[in-house]
Amino acid sequence: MAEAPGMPAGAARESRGSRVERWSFYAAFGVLGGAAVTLLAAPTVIVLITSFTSAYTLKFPPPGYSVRWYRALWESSPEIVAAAVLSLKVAAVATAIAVVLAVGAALALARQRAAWARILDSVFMSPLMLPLLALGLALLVLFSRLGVELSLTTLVIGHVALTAPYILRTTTASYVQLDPTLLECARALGARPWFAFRTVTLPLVAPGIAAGAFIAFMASFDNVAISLFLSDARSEVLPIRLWNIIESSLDVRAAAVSGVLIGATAVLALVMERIVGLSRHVR
Amino acid sequence: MGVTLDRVTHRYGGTLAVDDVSLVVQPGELIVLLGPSGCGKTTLLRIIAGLLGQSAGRAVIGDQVVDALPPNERGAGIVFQNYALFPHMTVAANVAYGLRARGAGRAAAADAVERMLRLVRMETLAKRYPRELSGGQQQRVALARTLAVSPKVLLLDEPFGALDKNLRLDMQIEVKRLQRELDVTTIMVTHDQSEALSMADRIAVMNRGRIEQFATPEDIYDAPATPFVAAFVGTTNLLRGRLAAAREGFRVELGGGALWLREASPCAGEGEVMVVVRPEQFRLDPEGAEGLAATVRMVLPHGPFIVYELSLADGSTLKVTAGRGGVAHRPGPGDAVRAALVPGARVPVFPA
Amino acid sequence: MTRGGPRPAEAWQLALPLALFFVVFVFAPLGLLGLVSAYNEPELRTMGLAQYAKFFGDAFNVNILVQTLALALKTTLLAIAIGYPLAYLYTLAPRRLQRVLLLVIVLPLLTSAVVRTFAWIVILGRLGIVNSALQTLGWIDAPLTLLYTPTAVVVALAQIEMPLMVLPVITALMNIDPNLTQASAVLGAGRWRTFWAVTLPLSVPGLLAGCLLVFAAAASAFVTQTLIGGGRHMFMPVYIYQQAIQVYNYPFAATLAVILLVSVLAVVTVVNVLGRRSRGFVHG
Ligand SMILES: Nc1ncnc2c1ncn2[C@@H]1O[C@H](COP(=O)(O)OP(=O)(O)O)[C@@H](O)[C@H]1O
Ligand SMILES: [Mg+2]
Repeated sequence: MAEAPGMPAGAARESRGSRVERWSFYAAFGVLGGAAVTLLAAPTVIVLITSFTSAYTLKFPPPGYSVRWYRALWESSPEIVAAAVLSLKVAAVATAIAVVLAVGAALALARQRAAWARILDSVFMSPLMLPLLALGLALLVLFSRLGVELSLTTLVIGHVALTAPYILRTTTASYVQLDPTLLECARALGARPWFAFRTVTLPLVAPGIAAGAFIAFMASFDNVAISLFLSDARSEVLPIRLWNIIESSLDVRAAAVSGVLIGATAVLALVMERIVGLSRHVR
Repeated sequence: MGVTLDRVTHRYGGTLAVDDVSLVVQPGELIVLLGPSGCGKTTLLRIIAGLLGQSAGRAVIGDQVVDALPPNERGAGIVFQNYALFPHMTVAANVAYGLRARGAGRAAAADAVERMLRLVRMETLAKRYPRELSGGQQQRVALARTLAVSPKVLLLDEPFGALDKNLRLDMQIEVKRLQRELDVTTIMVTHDQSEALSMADRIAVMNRGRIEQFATPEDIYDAPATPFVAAFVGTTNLLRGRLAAAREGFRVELGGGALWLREASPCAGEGEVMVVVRPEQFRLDPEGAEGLAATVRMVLPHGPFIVYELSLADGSTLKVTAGRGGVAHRPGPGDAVRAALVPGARVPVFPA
Repeated sequence: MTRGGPRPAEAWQLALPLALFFVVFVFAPLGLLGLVSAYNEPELRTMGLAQYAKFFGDAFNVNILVQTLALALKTTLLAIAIGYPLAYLYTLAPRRLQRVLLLVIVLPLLTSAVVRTFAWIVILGRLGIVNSALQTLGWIDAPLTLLYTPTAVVVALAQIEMPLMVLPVITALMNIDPNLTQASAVLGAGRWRTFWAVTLPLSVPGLLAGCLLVFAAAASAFVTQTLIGGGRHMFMPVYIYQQAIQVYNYPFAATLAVILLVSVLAVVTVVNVLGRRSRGFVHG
């Protein structure tokens, strides 16, 4: 191609002040943001490394590496394994119940603009803001007033209240994004409401429900504030067990339990990210 | 099967979207609802489909009043403006949807899907997902999906709005071909007048929820019933003037000059009037003594013809088109010309 | 009346089961909690405001409340200081990196808070990385006591709750019309000015939402408060736990819970009102 006639010889340069300004801006946010990422990830990594120590202390960096504490966990810690099983059970049952309750509520409220619907929605979301400890104590008082003995059931009830908001939130968000003309279209093509729900609404909202259920499950599995009041003397959930170990003895098995939890969480989260795009539903 | 609307009115809360519309569509006819955005076209279509319950009036499909029927029992197929293809289903599953919803077996549905995809020439893309299709292809799938359930009435909401210009023409021909082939009563919505003029058997021009005129494209264009129809369909000059009876017809004084008309309709009374003259109903006459004196302001070559923007003696503007060839001397900006009516031009006159 | 989706008449019924659950297992118990707090003695004989008088009459108790709210406030401020740059960095990052960043932010949120608190014990302990680093550098001779200090609780909590701050801020930042910042640049503003004058104000709704979440979480973070704070630094949640489970003084425990609940709700309400103002401002 021929050069355009009348081109000036040189190109204009950005002024020095502007260059400094731009550079300082990106440097500042790069450094601060990078530091934040490190701060976010480092503690978890440090625990993970510590869990492979060969020593009897939590010294970091560890003097040597082994899997002895994982073996100790597996071979001679039945109470920890039992606590984990109980936690899994409670989280699974509570999440299943919360899914049924919260998905119904999400379908009812997502498209409503009326004041009552907005209020109901914030009421349902309130456990995310309330000190759950207060709710745990309140439920304990209720059950003892009613003469209901603490059991797996009382524990599950408390956990349903704390898990429902997560599912409500993600399901609502997915349902709001669902194009309503898709449903109208299904109806116009001859689908009855239930058929349209099953074939259009549910498949399109399912990733949101799954993401919410996963987050809810993890929240239940990790909950201390409610379990503290609602589990009976015999049944101790894993986070409370872990809390006890850390508070009383600083047993290195706590690091091994942490290692298992970190690994399992990471794997599950990555799987959920692949299947339902977890991170999209968290924002 | 025909469609009849009897005094249908719809309000959204306080806003009146459809105002007392009555309409009779003959079996096998393709009619177009034409009007500016927000005039109630979609609302009317959704009422017919049963997606919206009208505030008043009745809708009849075939010989049945369908107001009490849910959408799945009306037999009206609707293609939405954005196609509304199910994103989680393949093309084949989309097309099969209506049949499956009616309880058709897998095999029967598969047969129909194949037939439908062949009809819209999409048989090779059956396994694709909607996001992997172009706009025109999505449009075809949406059509196939709707036609698969053999609707008694086909409703199309701005079906070509999302397509680019060349594709639009292809799809217009395609839809018209399918409509003829299947002989299905069709109601199409558009705000594009040229689309309406080229496709419709009859056009209902809507404005603010009302039907202004329901007639063939020729009548809509040549004999608009209201100034709105005249202004909305085609390019036009709306000229205010005074009508007076004259020898062998009428004389309209306007723009500092006068035009002679053989007849004046729909308004034949003397007084203030609005005259609707299409740009091609004027001819430019540089030397003549007839018509309105004007000055050329701008010349816009428009493919096969040229558009002149003139200013009349009183300062108002006038658009005139002329063919490219023929004129030995083409007037330029600043030239004084005269704009006279083409002999035999039918010019509607409305009371002002 | 729309016939496409569920009709309003049917729709609200789907919310009934959860509403019922909340009435029975959230509101009834909280109401009962308020009622129990209005008994004068642990045996629940006479009603009165003795518990509240006891709480507010004793500087020790009031101090615990103040310490708890101060902890939540400091944690929130620190979480902003660390979390906001991260959220902003996210918006600058290319798409692929954004996905990774988002996972790095979300993963801790899903990881057990007990585990993440434990991590801080490992870090701040006498044999932890901080002490060993300082000793290797020769800055100190004997390990410092870093754990069981109020500062340690604030730092650990800010790190643990940071994702709650970052996620809403990211949402707010991503919702800012890029034309606005570009307009600012074309009008001659530099990156810093654009940030302070356009980006930051427009992200205030997300910032407030994040503050609410962090504040509420920090105020009731039983695990971190007890494990990092140790026995000497008492906060409301532990106090409630002690009074209920160890002392069996239900009325006083209920009073503490009500006071914590009301304090947190008051802050949430005030911030929400501010938030509504700022949203009105954002959307013109
Ligand atoms: N769901 C709705 N709620 C309230 N008003 C609406 C709704 N849908 C349409 N309208 C109003 O009704 C009028 C007609 O709308 P519509 O039928 O969509 O027009 P068109 O399809 O001709 O553009 C418009 O003024 C529009 O604002
Ligand atoms: Mg429309």
